[in-house]
Amino acid sequence: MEKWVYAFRFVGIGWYIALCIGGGIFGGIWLDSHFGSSIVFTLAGVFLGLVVAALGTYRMIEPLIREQNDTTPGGKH
Amino acid sequence: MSRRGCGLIGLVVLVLFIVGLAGGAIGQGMGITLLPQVLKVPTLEVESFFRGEAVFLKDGPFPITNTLIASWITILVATLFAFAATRKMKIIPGRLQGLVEMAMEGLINFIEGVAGHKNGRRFLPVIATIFIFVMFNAYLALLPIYGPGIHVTLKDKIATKEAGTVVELMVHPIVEEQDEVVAVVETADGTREEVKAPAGELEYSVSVGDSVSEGQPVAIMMGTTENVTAVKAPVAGTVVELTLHRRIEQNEEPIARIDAGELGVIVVNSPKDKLGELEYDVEVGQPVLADDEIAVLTSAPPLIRSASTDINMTLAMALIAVLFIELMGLTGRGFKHYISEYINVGELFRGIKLFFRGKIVDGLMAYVTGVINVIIGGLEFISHMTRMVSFAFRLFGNMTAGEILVLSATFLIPWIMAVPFYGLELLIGFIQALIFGGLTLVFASIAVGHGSEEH
Repeated sequence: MEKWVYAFRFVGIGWYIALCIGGGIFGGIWLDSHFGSSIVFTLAGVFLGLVVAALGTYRMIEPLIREQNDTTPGGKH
Repeated sequence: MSRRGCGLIGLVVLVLFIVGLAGGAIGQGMGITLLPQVLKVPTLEVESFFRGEAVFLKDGPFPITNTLIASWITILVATLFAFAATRKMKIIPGRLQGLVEMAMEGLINFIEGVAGHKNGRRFLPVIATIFIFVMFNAYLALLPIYGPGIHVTLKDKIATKEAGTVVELMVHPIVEEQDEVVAVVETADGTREEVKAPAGELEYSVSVGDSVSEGQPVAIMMGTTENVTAVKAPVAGTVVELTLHRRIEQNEEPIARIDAGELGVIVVNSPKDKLGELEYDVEVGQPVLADDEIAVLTSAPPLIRSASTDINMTLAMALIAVLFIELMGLTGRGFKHYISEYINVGELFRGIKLFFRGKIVDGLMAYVTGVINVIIGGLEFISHMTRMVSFAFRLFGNMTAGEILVLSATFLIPWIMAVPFYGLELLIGFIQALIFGGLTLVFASIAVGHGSEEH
């Protein structure tokens, strides 16, 4: 694949991270206001959003890392 | 061109630049008043940022917005363009045919370069349509017939030339149908009552936020002088809305009369070629000074506005793109493989099965892998759905920002400053079309699987 194709694939990563964290926070706030529990769900939402964002980002860039390791001479020992 | 000609053009541009700098918003901000009425800077107010404004069938179930009309125009222009280019096809192409052939060849090479020959031909119709539609949208939006207000409404301030006392405010809200709702009153317990009026001109005697008692006049029908009827409030409460507006529907309509003492009674007219809603800043009997503001005229929304500055439009295209990607994944890989990307439970069940057969360690290992697979499936689903949002907002944001940029540049330094920004908009229109089409293409070719890459 051409190199710029990779650039295209990662254009959406910023949105993905933002939406994961934002979704976690707002979902948490909504749950908190629903159940009247002060901050528990918001914190859980932030944490969950961060974890999902990190894992998903890693999943997205995984093929690139693997390919780089394969093509770099001496990349795998 | 001779050196002299270049010098002359340069001089003209420089003079225009200096006059624009002095007379535009920057000059007015610095207090230069050499060119008072030449360049009027309107007050801009963002009226509807995310959506186009309805211009036809406003109250119907399907209001026609100005952005929708623009997208129809785009479809029409693109179709006519293609028709004109391919009407008389020749082996040795003419200019138009040559241009279209070159563009199509570029698109085909671009698409086949990413997706390979077989998939490229399958993707071509959708990707090329997206590309052409986005680019035509962006380029057509640079034409001057596309609304000057874009997504901001122009607010013109109307001032009086002479000092005096306001005698009459001449524009009244018009009730067009019998029993039209003219106001909404909210009672103390929160229920809302509509106030209806007979057809005719009326004048409100309360404003929003006033409290009224039952039977108090909310408005007075203007009609003939002996036939003045009051529109009474049905219940006691607070006025929450006055539904009718004063409209200017003719050129240079008289809007107020002012008793200027020795000069007699003068009439203030609405500006030329400006129609819309009028709001008075003065009351009858109020003394005004020369150049005092009398009213603000909010122009009607433009008839055509760039289609991509409407979030509904870009969201619809994003939906089409994402559906196309998922459909390609479904047909390219088969249902079982496609669905296993999101719901991957095979390993989980294998783990449970092994566990019950007594292979506890193997079972646990498979079980852990299974749980991870399920989580990865969820991640995959989220990342696919995020694409929709990022598609929609990227195009909308870029196009909207571009329009605001050109508009601001036009008023900051008139005449000269907008030109380079128009050039920039041409570039951005192309790049956005390339990104929207290219992303759909890349995601679709990932979706059909890695086996199809011909390298």
